[in-house]
Amino acid sequence: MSERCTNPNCFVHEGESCDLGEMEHTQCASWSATMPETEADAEIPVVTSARVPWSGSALGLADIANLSPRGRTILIGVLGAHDAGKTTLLTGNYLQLLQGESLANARFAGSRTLGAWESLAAWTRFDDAARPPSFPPHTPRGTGRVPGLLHFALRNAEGEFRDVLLTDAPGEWFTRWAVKEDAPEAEGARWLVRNADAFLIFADCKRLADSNPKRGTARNELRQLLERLGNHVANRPTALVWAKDDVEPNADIRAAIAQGLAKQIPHALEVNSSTNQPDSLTKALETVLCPAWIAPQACHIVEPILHQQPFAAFRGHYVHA
Amino acid sequence: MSTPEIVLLGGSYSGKTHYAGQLYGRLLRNPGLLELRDTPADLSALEEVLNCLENGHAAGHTSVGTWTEVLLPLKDKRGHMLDLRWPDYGGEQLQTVFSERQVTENWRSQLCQAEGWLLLIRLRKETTYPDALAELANRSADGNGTTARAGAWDANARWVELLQMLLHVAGVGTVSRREQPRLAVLLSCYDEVTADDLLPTQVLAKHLPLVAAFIDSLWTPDAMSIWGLSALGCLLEPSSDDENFINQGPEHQGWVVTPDGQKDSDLSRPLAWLLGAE
Repeated sequence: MSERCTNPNCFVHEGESCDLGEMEHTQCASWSATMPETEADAEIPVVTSARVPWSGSALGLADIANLSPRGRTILIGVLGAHDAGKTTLLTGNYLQLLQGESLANARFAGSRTLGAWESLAAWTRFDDAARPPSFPPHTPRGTGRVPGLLHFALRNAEGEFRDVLLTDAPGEWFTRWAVKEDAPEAEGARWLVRNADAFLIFADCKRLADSNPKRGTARNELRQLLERLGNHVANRPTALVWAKDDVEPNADIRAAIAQGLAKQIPHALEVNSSTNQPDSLTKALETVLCPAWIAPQACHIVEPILHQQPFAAFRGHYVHA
Repeated sequence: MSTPEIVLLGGSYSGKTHYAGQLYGRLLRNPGLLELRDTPADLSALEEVLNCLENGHAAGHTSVGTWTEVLLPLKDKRGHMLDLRWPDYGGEQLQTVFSERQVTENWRSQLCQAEGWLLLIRLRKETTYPDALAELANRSADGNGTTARAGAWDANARWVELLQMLLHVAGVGTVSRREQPRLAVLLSCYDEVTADDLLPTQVLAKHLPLVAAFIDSLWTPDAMSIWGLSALGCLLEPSSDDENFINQGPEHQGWVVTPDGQKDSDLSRPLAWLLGAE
């Protein structure tokens, strides 16, 4: 299918279902608008078949619009420098689910991005001696406005259903954003910080260790990121993940970062993760997933006092009714 | 008289045809919870498998394009009459649904109307990568970042994606737990599985944990059940001539393991459960 629908949110040309729910997309008004009038009269025999509105790849903005009306979604922003272990944490969590493990006291209830999960997981699998298992390669740096989102749905023992969206964004976005908040390349980072329900920030223990002569740069990048995020995070659940925990970071650097975190994001928790202990990867995600499970309650609206005269303070008897 | 609809979902070599043949023999000659009222008018769909089983060998592979149905006029223990259309088709059709990500109209209308889904999974044919996490931990230090990965999907992910797609096109939402359509999972060729003392549910959770979690999360406990099924009771080859089948008749071979772990020779029990006749 070469043409695409006039509806920008419709991906029928990529083999998904019609966005407006027509069984046969040629019957849809948005699709017909792409066709010249004369062709519309020609009878083309079509074999109707039903499709689904997801492709299995990472989700974009249009897909969120498709998913979010069905229930509470929890968008988790995964932030950190390049090669800090963000994708590895995501993959580890998928592999744990694949083993039937529960996550945040809830069990797997479906996923719209199984294709993307599987292509990440494929890197860790051993099916050919020529291809030893390894970590997923670097997430490519895109200039997209929105990071690719990985999805799974969970249901807990009480029957509560949640759609969990995890960002798999390239580390460069955040490094750039930490330096220059309105940098054009950091559009995706800004979107993420605006919309996420919770944050995981990655500290790469290996880069902060004594063995790395550039540990000062790594510390600086991380502190800048924490300081930047501190302005935006408000009371959203946040955790600092000491990734690659099997390597000990320099003690002074670790203390300085912990101190910076306590100042910038006082409510943030610290958690260690290492691929040597697969359950530490799920624990790290649970640290923010559990508090984000229930949406924060709306605050009471306090009407500001604009004038001190009694007349201006009168708001009618119904206020107290 | 009711005419319940069911769909039978099973990939290639999952044992759909053998189950159909053995089920027919049971219903007619060795009935349990369900029995046949009359001989079906058209038996051509089962002709080959019945012949093969009477002579103690396995039936051939159902060809890709096949779509046939046998109308089974049934009666349950309470005297309720029901007409069940039992489908048989080449298992590749289900594979095509997955690979082309579309469901033909024929399938879709069946899925929409069906009160019960019968899912046949042959665990030994399913490829999983259960040790991937350990591999991740024991990685070699040198990153092998350039080797492209094609790789087939883990069977867990493939079944979940397939079920999600079928549920979606059937218009079944997944946000609340489902009571309809009822789901019976038959772990076929159960004689191949070393179940020890595990219940069929636990066997599924052991071999396909993600599928087990998905089914648990999506259906209410009353609306789904998991069975072990060995339609033949042993392995038959197209060239074998099993004496038991020839002498005693195929209707005395094969068994199911009920969700509570009891072995039962009544092959119609999962069907009876699905139709609410148990």
